[in-house]
Amino acid sequence: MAKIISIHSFRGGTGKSNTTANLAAYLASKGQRVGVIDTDIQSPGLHVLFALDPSEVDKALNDFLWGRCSIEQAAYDVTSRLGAAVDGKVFLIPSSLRTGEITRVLRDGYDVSLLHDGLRGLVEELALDTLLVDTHPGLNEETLLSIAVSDALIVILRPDQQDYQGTSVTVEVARSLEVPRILLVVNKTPASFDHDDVRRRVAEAYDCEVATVLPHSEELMTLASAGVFIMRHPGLPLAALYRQLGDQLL
Amino acid sequence: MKPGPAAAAVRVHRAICQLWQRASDAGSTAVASDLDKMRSAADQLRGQLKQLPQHLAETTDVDGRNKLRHDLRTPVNQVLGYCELVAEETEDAGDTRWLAALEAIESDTRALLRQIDQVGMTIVRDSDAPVPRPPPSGGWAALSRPHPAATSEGPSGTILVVDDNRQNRELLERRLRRDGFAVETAEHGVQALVLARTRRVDVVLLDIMMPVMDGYQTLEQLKGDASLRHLPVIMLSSLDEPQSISRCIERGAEDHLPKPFDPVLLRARIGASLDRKRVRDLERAYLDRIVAEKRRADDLLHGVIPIGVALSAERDLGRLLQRVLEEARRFCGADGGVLFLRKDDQLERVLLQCDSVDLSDTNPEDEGAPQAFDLHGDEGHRRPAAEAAAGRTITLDDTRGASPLDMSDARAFDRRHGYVTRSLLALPLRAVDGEVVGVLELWNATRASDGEAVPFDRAMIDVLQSLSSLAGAALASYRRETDLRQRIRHLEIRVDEANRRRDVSQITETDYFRKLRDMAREIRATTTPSTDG
Repeated sequence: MAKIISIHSFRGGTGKSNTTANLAAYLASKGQRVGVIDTDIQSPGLHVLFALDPSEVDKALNDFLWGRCSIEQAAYDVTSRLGAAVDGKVFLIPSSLRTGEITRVLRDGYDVSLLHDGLRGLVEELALDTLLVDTHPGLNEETLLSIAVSDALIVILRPDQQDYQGTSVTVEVARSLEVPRILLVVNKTPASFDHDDVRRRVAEAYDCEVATVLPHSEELMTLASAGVFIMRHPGLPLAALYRQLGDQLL
Repeated sequence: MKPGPAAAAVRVHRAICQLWQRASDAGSTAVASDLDKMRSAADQLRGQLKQLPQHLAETTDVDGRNKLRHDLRTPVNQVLGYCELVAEETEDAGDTRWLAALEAIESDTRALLRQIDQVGMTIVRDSDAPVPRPPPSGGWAALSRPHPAATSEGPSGTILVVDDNRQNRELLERRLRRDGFAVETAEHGVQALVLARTRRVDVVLLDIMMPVMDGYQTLEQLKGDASLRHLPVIMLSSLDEPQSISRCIERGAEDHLPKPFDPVLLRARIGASLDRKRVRDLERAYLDRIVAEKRRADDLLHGVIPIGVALSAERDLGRLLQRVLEEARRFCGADGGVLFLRKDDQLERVLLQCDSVDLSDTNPEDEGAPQAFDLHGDEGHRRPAAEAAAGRTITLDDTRGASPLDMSDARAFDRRHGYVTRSLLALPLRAVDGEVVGVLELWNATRASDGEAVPFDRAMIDVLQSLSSLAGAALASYRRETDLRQRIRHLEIRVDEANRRRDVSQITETDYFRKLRDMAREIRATTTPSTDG
């Protein structure tokens, strides 16, 4: 059975899309077939990292779920755009061309099990090993829905932003939805911090497993915005940390 | 034919002698002494008039004849001056025995003066001008009342009398003192200039015809000296020609008094000059203040504000502290100073500088002084810095004078370095919210113009207070920033439990969420968890 993993952060700017892209590329490099659901095709995010122009996109997950198109039409194979050759595959699937459409679908009578069945169908059709869902920041109904059907949730936070409260609410809600595995990723950690100390404090504060503590630097920001980092700079320490994170999800 | 001036002089001389005899017989020695001076003046006049025809024949030019008249007027004016003075003094003392005789002498002398005024102007001949009426009885007394302010409040000004004739000087000095003025006297212009520069003088009475340096030259020197220019000068002269008067006024003389002096006119002109001088002094004081205010505004605009900006931008605490102390010292030329920072109830010395003992950016600990002291404990009690930490600005002109403050730190520093701490200023450094975050203590201010040691003046304190508030704000913001960095370095994750529960229940206690959870549960129950990978 393939794993569905939602990746979430309470606020924007935590590096959620970057983490998702790197995870997808790493899992593919390990031979996995990986699907990535992009919930926000309208704003620059995953598709930019995968060098996919929005004009190339005309069908989305919803169209597949409604039977309006085949999965081949809604899933975009971006494997060749990762920056290096991999054994596996990466498919980018825009969730909807219009925000909130899944929620509307749900209200119109489309229920959770239907979404689940739909996602499972997607997994089967594409023969996926892992399906990553890059969620919207905050906790809207759409996000809750994807968390509910996930096997694992990765919550990303930044130590220098005061979003501790929001993160704790997310973790608690995920627990309430009985998500089997919740992982915290501390991203963009300033160099002045002792990373081990940060890991310990975060784990203590949320009573939750911390998958990794990723550093912050201007240099990395510049490199990371141009493509998938671990494919382009596999030798840098940050790439090793991404790989370490990916290994925990294998 | 009326008698000529020589005969009139003989008559005046005789009358004076008779009166002198009466006074001597009556034992009125003071009156007799003054009459003796009048007698010698009249005697001198008699001699001069005897030789007048010969002198007139020898002197044909205008200046020479002016001089001739001037020389004749001098003894006449002395007779008149003493006449009035003795009359006033005796009448004030309730002694009216001499009044009638003095009035007669005065009247005759004035007639004589009019004749002398004509000397050399035309052919000397007996005047047929009527003898003027003497002042009405009691007139002198009425006019001679001393200036009320003068008697009740001490000298109302210091008058410098410049005249080469000793008797003239004495006469004027007596009259002026009687009117309540303090008097300085000089025989000529050179002496007058020395006195004007070294003594307190409010008005100068300046004779025109003098040896060594005459009145015109003296006036020019006075008006050419920036420090003396403001002194009012009243020219004294028998030369009542309009030309000579206007010459003096053009050169800056305040006023003009013809000899012989009318006592009332003398008082009035001196009073007017003093009033004008007072107004001018006030004006100068205001101007000085405006200049000082302008300097303060310039200091603020070009000095303090840019420094405040630079301080706010300083990211290194050591350099920030150093700049605060250096810039503060620069504004008042302070030789040394200490910067204290407040930590709770303690005041900590963090920096010490003192140029003349070659201490720059010294850690005060190396100076043997305790690093910190408790503000509320015995050791902090009454130290200037502790007072400033309580929000007060402390200024001492001389720390060695009696003071309720504890000067032990200054004394210890002085002993250690053979130094003398004189003036001291302690200022609170305040954050924007008014909290005192530190104290700036400065020693031994110096004047910018000449480096002279001076107390901390109002202008310095004003500028330093502005600088202190900027420095206080910079220090407070630095402290806030480092606190924040410190907190971040030791990541503090604060989660408000009550808010968290509320936020969570707002999401989880909805029908939608319950339905979502139930379905998720159902799905997971039917799906075998992934085992691959």
